[in-house]
Amino acid sequence: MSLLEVKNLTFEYGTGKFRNPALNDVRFSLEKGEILSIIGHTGSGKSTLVQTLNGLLKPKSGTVCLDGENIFSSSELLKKARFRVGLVFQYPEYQLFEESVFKDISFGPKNMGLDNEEIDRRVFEASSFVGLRGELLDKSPFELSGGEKRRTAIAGILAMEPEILILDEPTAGLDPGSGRNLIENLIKLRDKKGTTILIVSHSMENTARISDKIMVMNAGRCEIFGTPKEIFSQEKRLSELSLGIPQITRIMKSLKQRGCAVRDDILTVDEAVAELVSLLSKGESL
Amino acid sequence: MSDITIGQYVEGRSLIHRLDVRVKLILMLCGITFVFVAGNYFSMALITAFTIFIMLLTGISLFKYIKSIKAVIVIVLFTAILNLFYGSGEPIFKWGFMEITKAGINNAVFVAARVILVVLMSGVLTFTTSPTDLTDGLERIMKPLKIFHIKIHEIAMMMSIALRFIPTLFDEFNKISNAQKSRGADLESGNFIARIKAFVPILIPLFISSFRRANDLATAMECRCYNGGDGRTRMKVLKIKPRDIIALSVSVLVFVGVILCNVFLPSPVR
Repeated sequence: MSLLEVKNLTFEYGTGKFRNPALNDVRFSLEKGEILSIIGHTGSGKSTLVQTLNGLLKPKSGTVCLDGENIFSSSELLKKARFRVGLVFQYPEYQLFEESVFKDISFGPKNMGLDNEEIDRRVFEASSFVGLRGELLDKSPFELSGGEKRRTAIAGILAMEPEILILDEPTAGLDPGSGRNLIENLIKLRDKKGTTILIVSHSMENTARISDKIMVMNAGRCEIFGTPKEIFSQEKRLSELSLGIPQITRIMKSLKQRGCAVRDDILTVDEAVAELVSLLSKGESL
Repeated sequence: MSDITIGQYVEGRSLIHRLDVRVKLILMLCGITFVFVAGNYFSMALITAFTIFIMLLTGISLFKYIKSIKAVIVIVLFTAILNLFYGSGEPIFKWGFMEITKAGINNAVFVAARVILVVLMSGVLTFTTSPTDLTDGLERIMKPLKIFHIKIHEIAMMMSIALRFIPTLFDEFNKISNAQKSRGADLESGNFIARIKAFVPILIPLFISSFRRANDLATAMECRCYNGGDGRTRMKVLKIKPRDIIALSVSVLVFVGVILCNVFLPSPVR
């Protein structure tokens, strides 16, 4: 049984004349420890989809099953789902409200009804995990820099130790260094705790680097679902959906077109380096 | 949820929509005054007919007007029934200590008609005028108050900014409350105090982002050299057109008619 299984999910905003279908028969499943990226152009239903996964939005039809149980079948399961599925919204730094960083991160664990000792442990663990220095914990969250605020907000979700972590465009508005850092941390989180991660992203580079599976959404539908290699081999289809392929993949493709004997299914810079080094060491020139 | 409208403006190109907003405002105020001036069934019928005529001219479905009456129907019924029993003179119906007189019935009808007409008239104004036009019109009409050192332009600017940001804040409120719900915030259960407390995690971020927005907006306005109302010209210059003159004259005729009916036709028993 899959950890998360979504079947025939349909959702509409508004009613009657103002009906606006946002999800149309979406289905996919996710195993424990997998990293799934959702890509798609603006308005394709990505954000709506992730909000149904922790029960914030109730779908018009279809089911969202955690360990085989539909989270919408009882209010008990729905409440549990809020804690099992942690959702980091777009620009999560705007949700900070407490007087200290520590208190803000502990808001989620407190709502879970944990005891103080456990809350302390989780807050320290989550904050060191996202790289917040210890002395920041006593500061007001409003004194922090943009990047530190973002980390605080993400730590607030991590401290709930969700089985599935969903992030809606987590790197938007971050400098490249912080963005890279965040992505590396997410991979670390999966490796260490086996957390299943779902990322909504506009960055093909990050997506290619981190994902086990990729889902391409268009007009509320799951258009393509597959491994990064499967997805990014369909350059034409992606560009029809106003999406692209990672820059490095494009470079390798054009190298191949110019007659170099390189693979054209390379997705990350590291892979590309390895491929080129091995090519050059064989004595071939570019 | 993001498509909530402020006020009840219904877009349209009818004659009433296109009237100068100042004319509309003044006519509505006069109209409401004359609803109370009307003292007998004839003048009341005249002003009612006039109101219905204007409603039809707006081209907005009568259903919408009926809906606006629905909102006040309790008040209308309550005051009408109360008035029913407060008439002097010969009772025509008696039940215990309660008695209904002819004057009582007249009072009830008049009170109900007046409240309904006032609601309908203000409906005509708010349905056919966008909130921005409305504040613009108010600013123009209140301009003479400047001699009392009342900052009319500033007040109008504040009103239109407030109106502009209500949907934005509403969106923001939804976003933040969803974010806190994802962190397990419980907004629905508990007693009154607990529920108020539960809103703190939403209101604080909302306040902070409002201040940030206000700051950004002030900077943006200054970048475009905004420095208050003095010497400021307008994109939409209000001009009295022939249709405004016609509207004014027709209305004045009706108002005169109301007075004539009052004076020359018999009043009901009071």
